[in-house]
Amino acid sequence: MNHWRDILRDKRVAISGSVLLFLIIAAFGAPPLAGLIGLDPDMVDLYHRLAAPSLQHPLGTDEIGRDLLFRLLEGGRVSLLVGIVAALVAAIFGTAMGLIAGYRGGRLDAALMRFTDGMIALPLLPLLVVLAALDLKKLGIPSAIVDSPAISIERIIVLVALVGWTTVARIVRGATLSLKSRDFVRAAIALGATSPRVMRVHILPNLASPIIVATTLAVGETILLESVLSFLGLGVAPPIPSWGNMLTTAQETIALAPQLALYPGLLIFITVIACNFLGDGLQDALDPRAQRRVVGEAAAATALEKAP
Amino acid sequence: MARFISTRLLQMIVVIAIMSFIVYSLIGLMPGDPIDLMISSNPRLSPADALRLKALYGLDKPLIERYFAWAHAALTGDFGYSRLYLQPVLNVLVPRLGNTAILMGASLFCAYMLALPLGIIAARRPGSAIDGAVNLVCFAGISVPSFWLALMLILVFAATLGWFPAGGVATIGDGSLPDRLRHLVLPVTTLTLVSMGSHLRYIRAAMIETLRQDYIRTARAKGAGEFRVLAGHALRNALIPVVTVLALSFGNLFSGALITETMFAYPGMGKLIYDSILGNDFNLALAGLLIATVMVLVSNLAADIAYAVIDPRIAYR
Repeated sequence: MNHWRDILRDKRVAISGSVLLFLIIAAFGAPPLAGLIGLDPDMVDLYHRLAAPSLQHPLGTDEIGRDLLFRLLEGGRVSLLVGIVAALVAAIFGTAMGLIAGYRGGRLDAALMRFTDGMIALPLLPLLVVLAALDLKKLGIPSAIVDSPAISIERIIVLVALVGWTTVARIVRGATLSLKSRDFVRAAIALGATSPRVMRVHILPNLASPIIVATTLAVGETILLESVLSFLGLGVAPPIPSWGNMLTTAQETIALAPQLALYPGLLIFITVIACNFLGDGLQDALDPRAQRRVVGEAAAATALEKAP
Repeated sequence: MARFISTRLLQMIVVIAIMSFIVYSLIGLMPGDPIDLMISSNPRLSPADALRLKALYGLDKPLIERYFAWAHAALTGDFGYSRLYLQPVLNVLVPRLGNTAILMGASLFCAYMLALPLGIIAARRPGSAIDGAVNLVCFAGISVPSFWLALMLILVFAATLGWFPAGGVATIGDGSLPDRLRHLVLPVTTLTLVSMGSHLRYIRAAMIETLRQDYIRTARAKGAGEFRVLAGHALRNALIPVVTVLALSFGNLFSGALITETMFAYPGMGKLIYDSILGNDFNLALAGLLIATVMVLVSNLAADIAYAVIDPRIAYR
């Protein structure tokens, strides 16, 4: 347990971790709380549109009179959910691919590396716009799923995970390659352990640090991608709020109510910067000797315009 | 060296062929059908006419066959006709390439003009207050959503203060140079701020690594001034990895910045690709995406070659 105390002693980890924890608790705790005090966050009140902050509405109301604070928390719940779930999906798939490719080597490894090279060469954002605009019915997905209200959330999670897994796969592959030749792994193999057992028992636990770091950074990148796609109207679709699509409507009333455009963006910014600082701090705390993965590395390599 | 370049060129052509097929198939999965779009405004066309039109354009053939027909035409420089702009695709694309190169080139230049001195100052004392402040700037640039930054800049500097125009390339009827430059200020600021962070981190990391080397201590021991040590001895060696990252970002000079261009209504490649995808302009979207991909691949190759040329320790394989 001393280990965790050391990690929390890093200022970056402590501060950004608390900020994220606070945001998560607030966003996921808001709907039950609203129910308790008898407030309906979706209640439209056309007599009090774009109202100034008051005791009843701490941040004022939006363009159709809904409480802005609750709207922001609801949007945060969706954005955080999409970010965390997509990053986890990408991490699990990327870990499996990187582990197998690094351990087995050979053709699979070569194919994986060429594929990730190709993915990095593709212009990310235009590609995501194409993928988000695809007609799911032409892909043969049943219309019961395509027409369900949650499809916009499910689709964005799949899309972002689809482009995100390669980063984790590369990191895991590199770490697996170096672990493979270590004595304890060779001893396990000499004692007759099967390949799946070596990968699961001997290699995977030693990959925890790089995977945790990569996933933390991926949550931030994912939230940025979600917000930009939702902003363009290709991600989470209204009436489900997300920080990205709240900015789309805020753009129309920006002259009347600039605060509607200020808060969602500020929350995206705070969340993403907290994820990046947390990832960076964890990297130093968990894995000080490992080769550093520079935050925003993908951004520098692929982009003047980084993903968003 | 010649062998290294020719192998890489060959690999690149294979990757381009695969990528073009993937993009071609993806575009085919977009909603809508070119013939339906064509006849939707003409109620006198019967279903039989539609089928004949499909046969005329080869749309009744299997995907592979259509792809090869398209690729054959594309290789002779014929990318088809743009539905939105009613012009051959290349006539639409070429002016946009120029606009995008100006915007992205200016942003890249500004980003380096800021990142180089900041990175060097931060690297002199890692862990100091200055380093911490520079690090905060890096993280802020990497983490800020560019569309929101653009929105805020428009709100403050265009809508409220009125210092700069909110979008476009020039005021109608005034194409003078100062007017054009005024239009570039806000988009270039946005792109500079969001891209500076990652370049800055590379420069800082490379400088810290270089300043640890023995020859830096030797230079100091021989009494070289601080400026001479930093600029003459350290920077030149630290720039080797930085040049690769710089070459990698050249690809984006032509693929453009989808979000920033769209936010500022700047007629560049990024906005063109976005508009063509949303407007069902298949030919234009396809050509735009491909040019963007090819540019990235070419600049990756250029980065590898530049790396090999600058640093003789790199072996070509």
